[in-house]
Amino acid sequence: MGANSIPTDATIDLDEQISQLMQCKPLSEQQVRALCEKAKEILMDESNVQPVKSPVTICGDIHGQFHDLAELFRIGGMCPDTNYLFMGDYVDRGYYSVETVTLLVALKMRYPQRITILRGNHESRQITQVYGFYDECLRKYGNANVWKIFTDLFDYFPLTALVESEIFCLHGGLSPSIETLDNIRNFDRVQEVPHEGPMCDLLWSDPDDRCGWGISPRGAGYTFGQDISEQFNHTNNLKLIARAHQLVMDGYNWAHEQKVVTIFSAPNYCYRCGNMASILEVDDCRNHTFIQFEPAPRRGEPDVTRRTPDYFL
Amino acid sequence: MFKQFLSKLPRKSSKSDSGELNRSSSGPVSSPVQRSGTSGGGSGPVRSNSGKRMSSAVFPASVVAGIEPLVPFKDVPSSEKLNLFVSKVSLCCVTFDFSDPGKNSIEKDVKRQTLLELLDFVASGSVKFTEPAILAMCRMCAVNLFRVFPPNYRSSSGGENDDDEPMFDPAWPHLQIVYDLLLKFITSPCLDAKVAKKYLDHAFIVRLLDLFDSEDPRERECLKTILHRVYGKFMVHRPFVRKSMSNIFYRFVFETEKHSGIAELLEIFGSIVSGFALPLKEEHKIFLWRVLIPLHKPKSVGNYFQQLSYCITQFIDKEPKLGSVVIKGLLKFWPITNSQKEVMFLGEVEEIVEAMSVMEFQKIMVPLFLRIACCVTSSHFQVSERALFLWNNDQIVNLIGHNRQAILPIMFTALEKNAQNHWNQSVLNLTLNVRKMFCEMDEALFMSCHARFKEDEAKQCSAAEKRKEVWARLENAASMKPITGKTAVLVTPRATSIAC
Repeated sequence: MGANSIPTDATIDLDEQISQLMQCKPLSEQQVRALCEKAKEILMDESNVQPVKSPVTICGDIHGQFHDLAELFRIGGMCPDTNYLFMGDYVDRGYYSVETVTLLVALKMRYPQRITILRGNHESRQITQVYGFYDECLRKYGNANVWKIFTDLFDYFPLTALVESEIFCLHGGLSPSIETLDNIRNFDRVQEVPHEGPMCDLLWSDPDDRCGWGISPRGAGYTFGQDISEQFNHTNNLKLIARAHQLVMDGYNWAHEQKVVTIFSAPNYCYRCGNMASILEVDDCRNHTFIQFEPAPRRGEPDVTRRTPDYFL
Repeated sequence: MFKQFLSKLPRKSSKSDSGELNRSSSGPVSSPVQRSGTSGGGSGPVRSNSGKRMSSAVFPASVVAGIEPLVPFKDVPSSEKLNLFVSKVSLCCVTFDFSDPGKNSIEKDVKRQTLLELLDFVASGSVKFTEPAILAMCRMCAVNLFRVFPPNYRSSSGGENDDDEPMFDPAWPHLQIVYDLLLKFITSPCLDAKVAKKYLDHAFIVRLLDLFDSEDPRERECLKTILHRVYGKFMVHRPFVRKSMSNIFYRFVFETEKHSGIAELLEIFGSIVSGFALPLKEEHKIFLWRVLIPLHKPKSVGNYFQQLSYCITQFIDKEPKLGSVVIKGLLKFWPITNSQKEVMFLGEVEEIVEAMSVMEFQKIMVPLFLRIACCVTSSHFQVSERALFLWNNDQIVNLIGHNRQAILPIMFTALEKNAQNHWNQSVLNLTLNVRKMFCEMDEALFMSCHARFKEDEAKQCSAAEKRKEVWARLENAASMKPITGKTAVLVTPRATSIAC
């Protein structure tokens, strides 16, 4: 990636913005607007099934837990020293959705070949208004402009990625209306996440112990059984489906006899679930290593864990 | 909301182990590595919130040497019953440590049995309570109930945590019977309020009110009933109870924003308000303005909104002229960075406005509809939807119809803006319906608003154009002029894009 080596005014600007964001300080509305306008150009050229080379580190949900994302980078290596593939859900729930998503988009701008950011079900207008990102933008910018800029950008995020033609990565799971990767490549993704249909399913579905397709308790997407995963992997010559979307206590969880793995990268989710987070390193020989991590230590964070102090017991 | 979300996820975490065991067959997968960040990432074990939630209050320390059961009531003559009552009540002044269930289990049971006997005795209502008996009861209740709660570790933003599981006091097996006993005692026809008021005094009431901060919902439920009965029976204490409740509300709104029992206190106040005589005293109207309206402000308003809303409608039922006062108050405290709260406010506005007379409505319609126009154009689909739903209310549509000359000009731009580019389909449909409704209401007025809207739009357009030209000229002039001296000149094309 020689293109990254010559510093230009634009990259110097971006480097400054990235280091500001790394301190958890948001950019101004104008900066966000300019950043997202350029990001749109890069993202719109990416495929619905974006090809990715190894080595790469695959990550799951972040949900605005900025300090844990910083911890993730400390553990996995900073971009561009490590290549990253994020599988969506950067915003909502945590207190720093704005900083988290801005940082990831800035990194994407600065190192477009080094980081891939997919769309999660929370990268949507409707969901972000219910789960926190919208209100966080109102609080931090005084109006909804930044929310609008980002949600307009989310429409351009690729839906899935394919690592070395063998690991299929996406946020949610499979869809009954999709048999091949070419089915995915062929639809127009630039829109709000619909309430149903293949695009919705990719972002909402979950693997399940039961065979076949099932009705998802989430009210969107489907559940799919091992038979479905095996068939899909066979048809498309895949070794593994890596996905996020579900809280798993160890940070990662195998399903369907290792045809499917869930990766979740928000430790102590919502600041109180007590779960580990993990990331999946795929090295240049395609070996897999899961790295688990705990929440980053920090001060001044609201302590929402409820407990009776020991001295009262 | 969060719990619902979690509960929908299949619980699979426990399975990961078995998954790992048979992994050897599938090639290049090594076992998980645990690394910590450069900053010393391992922050100690994360406390999981699973398991029983308990909060233990601090009891006045009283070490138990062992308590002996006393003879049953039925074994003594009537003349001795009250003396035995006092003895039994005194026996119950011993308190136990419930954080260790195995500790003093025999003594705990003796006390439980005694409390139950007392409960039966009070319920039987056979003997009039004497002053020593009342004193003993009040003392026993004080010893058992009045205690300091451990600090509340929840964030004050109750709104976000309304799905939290409640905390349960481990001492509840005894507390519950003491509460039952106190309730039976207060409501007993054998208790003369004139005598009892000396012991069930202001200090007792204040401490009883303090208990509403308990995190145990069962306790707050008991307290609610008891305070209700105290208010009913002890007429002489009524002004004091109201004042003390106001003080709790004041401290909550203006100082701490932390209190577990606001909903329960408001529920009691709602029924107090419904008993107010007419015309309303000035004191009560002041309470509405200084307490109930500001109670809309805290972040956690969602936890007690229903009860608050009930109190307010009770006031307006009593005196309809207060409707405009309340609307003005709501507009003053209108939330601008909390969409869920905004939706609640719109709900309350609907409830109040639908009951308004035309006269009352006219007092507030202009500022109200300026706010509603903002809500209609909100990018938040729930806020916008909720605002547009006001037009589903026939009463309100009727009021709007009578005052369309004032309201349509305010609403027109908002509706037009939404129709042009709101992202949400359902908002779009609702907007078009409301627009159609206005058009059918008064086509001439609608057309004149439309004409004025077009005019304004053209004006804004030309103003923006002019501004752009001025900036272009300025930049041009600046770039021609060589930079002299040490004056810093920054000319970027970005400056123009900030306009409007």
